[in-house]
Amino acid sequence: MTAELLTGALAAASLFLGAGLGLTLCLPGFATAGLAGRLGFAWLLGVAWIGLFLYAASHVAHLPLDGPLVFLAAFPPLAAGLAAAVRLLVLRRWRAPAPRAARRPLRTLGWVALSLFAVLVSSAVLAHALTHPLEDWDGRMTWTAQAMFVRDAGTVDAAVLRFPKSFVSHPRYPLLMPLAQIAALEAAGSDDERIVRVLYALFFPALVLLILEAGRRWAGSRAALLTALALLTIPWIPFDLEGGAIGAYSDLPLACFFGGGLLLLLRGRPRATDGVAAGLLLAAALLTKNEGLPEVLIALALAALSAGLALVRRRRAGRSRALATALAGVLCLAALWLLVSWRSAIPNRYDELYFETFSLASYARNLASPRPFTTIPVIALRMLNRRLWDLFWWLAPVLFVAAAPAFRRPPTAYLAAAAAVPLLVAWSAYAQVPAAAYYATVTWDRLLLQGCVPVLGLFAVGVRRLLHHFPRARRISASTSGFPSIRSRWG
Amino acid sequence: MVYRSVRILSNAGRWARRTPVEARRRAFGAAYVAAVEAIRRELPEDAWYLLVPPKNSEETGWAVWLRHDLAPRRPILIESWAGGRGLRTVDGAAAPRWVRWTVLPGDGGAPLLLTREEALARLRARGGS
Repeated sequence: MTAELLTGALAAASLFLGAGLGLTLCLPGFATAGLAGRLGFAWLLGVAWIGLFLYAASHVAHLPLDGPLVFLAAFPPLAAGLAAAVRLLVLRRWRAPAPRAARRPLRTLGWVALSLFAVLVSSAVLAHALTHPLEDWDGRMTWTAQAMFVRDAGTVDAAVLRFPKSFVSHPRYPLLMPLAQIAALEAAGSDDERIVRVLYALFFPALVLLILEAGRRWAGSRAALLTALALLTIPWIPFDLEGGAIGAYSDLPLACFFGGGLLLLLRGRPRATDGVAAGLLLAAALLTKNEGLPEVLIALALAALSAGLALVRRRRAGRSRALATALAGVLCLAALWLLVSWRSAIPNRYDELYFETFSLASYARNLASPRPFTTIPVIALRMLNRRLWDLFWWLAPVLFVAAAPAFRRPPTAYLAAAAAVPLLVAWSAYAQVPAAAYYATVTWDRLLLQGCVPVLGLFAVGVRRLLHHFPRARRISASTSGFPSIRSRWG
Repeated sequence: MVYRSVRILSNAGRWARRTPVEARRRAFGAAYVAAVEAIRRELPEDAWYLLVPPKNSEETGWAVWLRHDLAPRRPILIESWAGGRGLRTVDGAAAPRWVRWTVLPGDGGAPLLLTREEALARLRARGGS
């Protein structure tokens, strides 16, 4: 490991974080986010913005994918963020710190323990990325290979993708993460694949920060802390080579984009700018993996449902929810158009051919087949394997039985619906393929990961309920939480 | 998780002392890495090449991993070379005439770069299908 590698990795990380921080400073919806939430969203928005900008600039405007274009992508959010920061400073409109509750040693200890634990696990992921070559299957087969082809061609419409005889696996898979890889390498001025690995590794701390923010909003800070601790005890998410943060699979970025967009849209009274930020994240989800499409559709449908219910009940939040959902929907439609237009010139080959052999009749017939049931032993073995998920899937059902969240209260039902989407995708996919058990072995954990933000959101709501079973916890929570109840927040 | 994280950190400390090439040798084997480096020196980055996989390529990932290691050089996968019909692609069509180079498994599975004619002669001598 050399100083050159470290400075390159720092430049790449700064590119995304700088652009994302600029966006969070410009968008007033993030003013109420805590530092953790702001940093987590900054990383996600930075990657989403740069990736979307490069995709559109290359395919629509035919601009060459190179260093100057990456700089051009980062410049507007950086400049706007800087201007917003200066404006806030000049107008002395920095938010006054919220009145602090009296320090409680146990709570402080909890936050210190969480911070140390998160730093330790994230450092291990980062250290692995900086010292080992890329060894995972999909990263080498699809995502990094595509990035190298596209970077060499200087365009997302590379001849190697369009030439029907060229040997490219999954040539029609969306390219947002390969484009982020190209941006990282251009920012670092390097060809070193370890810089690409750092890009994926940093999605793990971003996920931890996102879960903290989601837990804080949906269940209060104590439940958020315990939920983040639960996340940090799962070995599979940071350390699995075939899907975790030490590989170059796109499932972790997809989980973050989908979860982040959902979190913004399910706010009690979202601003229009929350809709824009959610739209950027969901558009990125759509352009990250094929599974992004159903996940984006359900996120928008849930947001529309919550807006519709609020409008029917004549609540003031209804209009703001509808506006945010509409803005997010417009950005997602634009991303879908971009994806369809880009794909139209690429002949499909070296792919599973799901869509070529797809028919509604056979799909419906297969849905009722017993094939998915053959996957249940595989799924159970993986979920209860302590080397993969530790005790999480042993404890989560117990928690839900002991402190089942009230489904009539938002956002519980919405989270449950969002968490179910990857599982429904899995069920319908396993119903279509003959070797369902094999497919479950190689995909189930990744589908669980894709739905982890709503799942951990539900976990946080359960933890909150459990904490309220204890009188002392209730007393502390009532006196220190500083967060309005879920019901009042949903107005 | 604490133990596992510390173990990964200490392992990373050992790997940090290796150069990128040493790390790749350690991960993928010295013979494979040397062969890939030799092909990368020989074959221009914008070149197309025919990739002839071994029979167990689907299980070992030989072709997809080699494609990654030779990128951005552009591969065309060869599925068969039997029956005197020359090198054939996945759809059974003849490999494009303008592609001059072929990469195929040499001794011990390490990749080997040959001209198209040399590759065909070698494959016929092996009696493969």
